[in-house]
Amino acid sequence: MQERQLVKRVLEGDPEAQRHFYDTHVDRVFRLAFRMTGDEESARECTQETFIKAFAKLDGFRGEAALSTWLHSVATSVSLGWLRKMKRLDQREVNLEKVEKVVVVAEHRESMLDSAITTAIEKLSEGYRTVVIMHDIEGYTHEEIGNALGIAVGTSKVRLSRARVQLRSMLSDFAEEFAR
Amino acid sequence: MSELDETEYEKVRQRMQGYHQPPATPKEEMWGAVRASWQDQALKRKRTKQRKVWYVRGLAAAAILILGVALGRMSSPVAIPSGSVVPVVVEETGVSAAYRLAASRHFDQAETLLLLFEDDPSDDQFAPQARSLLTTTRILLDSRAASDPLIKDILLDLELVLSQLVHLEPGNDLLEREIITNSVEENVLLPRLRNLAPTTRL
Repeated sequence: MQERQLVKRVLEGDPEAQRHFYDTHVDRVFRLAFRMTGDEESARECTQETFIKAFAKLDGFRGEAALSTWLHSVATSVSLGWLRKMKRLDQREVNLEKVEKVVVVAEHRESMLDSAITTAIEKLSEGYRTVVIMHDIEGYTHEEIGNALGIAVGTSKVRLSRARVQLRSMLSDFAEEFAR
Repeated sequence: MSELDETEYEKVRQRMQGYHQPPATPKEEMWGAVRASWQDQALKRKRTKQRKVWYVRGLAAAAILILGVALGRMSSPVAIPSGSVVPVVVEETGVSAAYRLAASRHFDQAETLLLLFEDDPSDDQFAPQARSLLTTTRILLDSRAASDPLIKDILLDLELVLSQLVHLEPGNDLLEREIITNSVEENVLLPRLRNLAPTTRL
């Protein structure tokens, strides 16, 4: 079914089209919301809100971009808005010293590595972290990221490059582990 | 310690897949909430569409009626020859049936416009419609219809809200639209329009 046709049918209230639209996109939207928020309840709320907002704005979809790209711009906006609203970002900017203590008491080297990676990602600024999550973890292209975040493709690339530099630096203590 | 090189970062990247690893998507649980909201919105869209159709049809009918009232008002000072019969029904309030009918139609139109605004305050099409209704409101205020205190009160409140709507410009921020919504609510305008309309109907 062509996207415009699907959109028309969804707006007309066709249950089959609505379910098709939801099924096609819900996994990717939920995954992104979970990666960004870090817990299932929040990811559910963000995913539901994404689809509810998308439907409300669907008659404004002009088809200049793919429907999935348009939907993901709504999804990222909802998740980032949610994070800001809940002031989660501030709470999650964990002090590295505190984490080093956690790492010291960790029993296994493997979990130490995972903790360090998690901490390093969370220490990134919101803009860098979002690009890292979308590109390096969820596999979005820079075009998709640019469209979703409303930034230029070049900006997305620069953010990713700078984020990687910061991650490499923050994880330098584990260079030996990764060199094996 | 040295920074990680490209190869080492690639290993980090693979390991990052464990960062906030999502569980299976709870599709069905979320679908219930999404579907319920979509159904509500679809119903609202349908209702708004029907109101718009009704509004346009009604506006044309009301315009003809108001024109008649205005013409009647202009011609009222003409002396009636003695012995002739005055073909106007005058009620206790002194408001003729024609004026009541005009006010009734006008209130219906105004109610519909305000309901459309309530449905979607972000729509930029209200100003021209409100301008037309504002003109009619002022004609009625200046006519014998306003000799009924109830009708006059509601016309005055309506004039205020319609004036605000007329000055809405495309892309105005939500605050301005909220002020109008508050004005409608504070004046209990919708229930009053709804309640008054039957008493003004013939």
